[in-house]
Amino acid sequence: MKYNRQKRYIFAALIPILILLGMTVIPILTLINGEEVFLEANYFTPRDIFRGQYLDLNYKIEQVDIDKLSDEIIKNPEEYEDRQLYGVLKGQDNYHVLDYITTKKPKDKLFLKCRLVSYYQLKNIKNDKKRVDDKVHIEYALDRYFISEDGEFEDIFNSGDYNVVVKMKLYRGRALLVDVIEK
Amino acid sequence: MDKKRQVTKREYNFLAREIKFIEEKNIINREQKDKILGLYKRPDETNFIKIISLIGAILVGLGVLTFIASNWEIISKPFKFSIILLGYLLTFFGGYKSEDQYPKTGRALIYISVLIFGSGIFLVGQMFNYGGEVDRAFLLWTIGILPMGMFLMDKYILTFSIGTSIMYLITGMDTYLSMDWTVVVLLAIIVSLYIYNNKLLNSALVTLSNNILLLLYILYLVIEWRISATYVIILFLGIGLFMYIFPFKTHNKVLKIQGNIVFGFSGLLLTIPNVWEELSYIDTGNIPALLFAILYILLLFFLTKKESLISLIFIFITIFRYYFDRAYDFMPKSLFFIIGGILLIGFGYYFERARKRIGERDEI
Repeated sequence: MKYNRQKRYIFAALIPILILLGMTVIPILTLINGEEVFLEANYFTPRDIFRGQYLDLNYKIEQVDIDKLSDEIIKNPEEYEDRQLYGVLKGQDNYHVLDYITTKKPKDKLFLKCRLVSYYQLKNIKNDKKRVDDKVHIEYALDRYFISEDGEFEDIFNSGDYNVVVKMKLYRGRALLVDVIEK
Repeated sequence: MDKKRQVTKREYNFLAREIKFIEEKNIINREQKDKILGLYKRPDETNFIKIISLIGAILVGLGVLTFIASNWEIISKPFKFSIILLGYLLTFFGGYKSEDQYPKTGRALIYISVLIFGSGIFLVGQMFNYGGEVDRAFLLWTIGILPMGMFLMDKYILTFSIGTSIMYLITGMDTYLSMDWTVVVLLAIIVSLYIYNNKLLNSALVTLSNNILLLLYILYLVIEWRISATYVIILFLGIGLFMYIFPFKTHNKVLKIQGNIVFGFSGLLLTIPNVWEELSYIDTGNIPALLFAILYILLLFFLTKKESLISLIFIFITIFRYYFDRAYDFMPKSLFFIIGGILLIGFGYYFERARKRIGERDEI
């Protein structure tokens, strides 16, 4: 195998490089082509041992009113628990809010890919016990914003309040978090 | 000249010691002693160098990983990314070049490149604020490292890729997103490793680690399919027994030891009544647990007779498990232990006497 040594080593070295470069493609595309979106949020400040200090963000659009869900989801939540859903956004004042959640990929609209996380409130509907303010928890892949160790972010979590605005670039349902600004 | 026989350092030292003793007894002369020892390849002392370089590489790699995590703001992210890419290429290339002259140091440089690659993945995740858990990062790390290990025929890189696969499995457990993916990808990793190791590398370390990965994978599957814990433990009991009784040809010692440990632990868990109570049709687990314990101990004794050291260890563990079990009152427990012990000594005496009789008969 000696004469093949160079080839073997080149192949061996190549794959990791391709992976590293490949990882940057979609984010950079999003940065260039994405539309700017502002969402209200709040955060914790835990630490990820591999990626360092980050803000664990909680968004207003994660708590969703039941009437914003499409009918198939309300009737059959278990089936949609493992599937990709889409949250359509619309502008309101200075920020963006959630318009509705649908099961089909929307065209020509501003949307985020998301998933249904907790929906026990939907069972209340079946029992006719729906409470007025019932909300369902939806998750978008926006929850981490990495900061440096000596950054200026203090632990400001206040349950119920959304004290920061997260600026992001949205492209084809994927978001790239750009900044976290206090209101 | 014929190829010298390969033995481990321990075996060589044993041989040298005993041959010297035999020579001193004048059973063989010096020339014969040298001739005998000359058949064997003297294992080199440079294992220590290998270890130091390995530890050094790990330290540097971990240092780089921590530096990435610190997210030092003074250096811009794109600049950090270029440094990582450059560092990866330099260490890999440096290792490649120096491997001829300095095989161990050169290989250590390549190990550093493996860790730099990993920190690169985490850096990109950090740069672009990738959401979610680190499981995807570990998957990418594995996909990058596994082919490298195969191309370079390096058992340490392959074992490390098994480690990252295990991390992928563990960190991704609660992530509902990609269960189907995980099942397929992990299976592909495990199978390709077995095939590669069997045909080309033949490393006991890889077999051992791959077995662990396979067992964890099976555990992951049964948890995802929500199979009751009792059946899971019984399943692993069966798997362990199977590994022990029918080890594959390659590295059968490894399989026997791992299988022994797996069924030993599974059996130990099944002596606990609560484990049996997990099943819906069992109210009190005391009877099944005790019945099982009797069979289990008998099996362990049988295997100890066949000189399974691990089974002997499990006998002791089981004894202490019952000794410390608060569920049994002291008096009955004390009686049980004493009577049991006396019975065993009685058996031992009986066997010894029987063997002695046979021995005397033979002499006559």
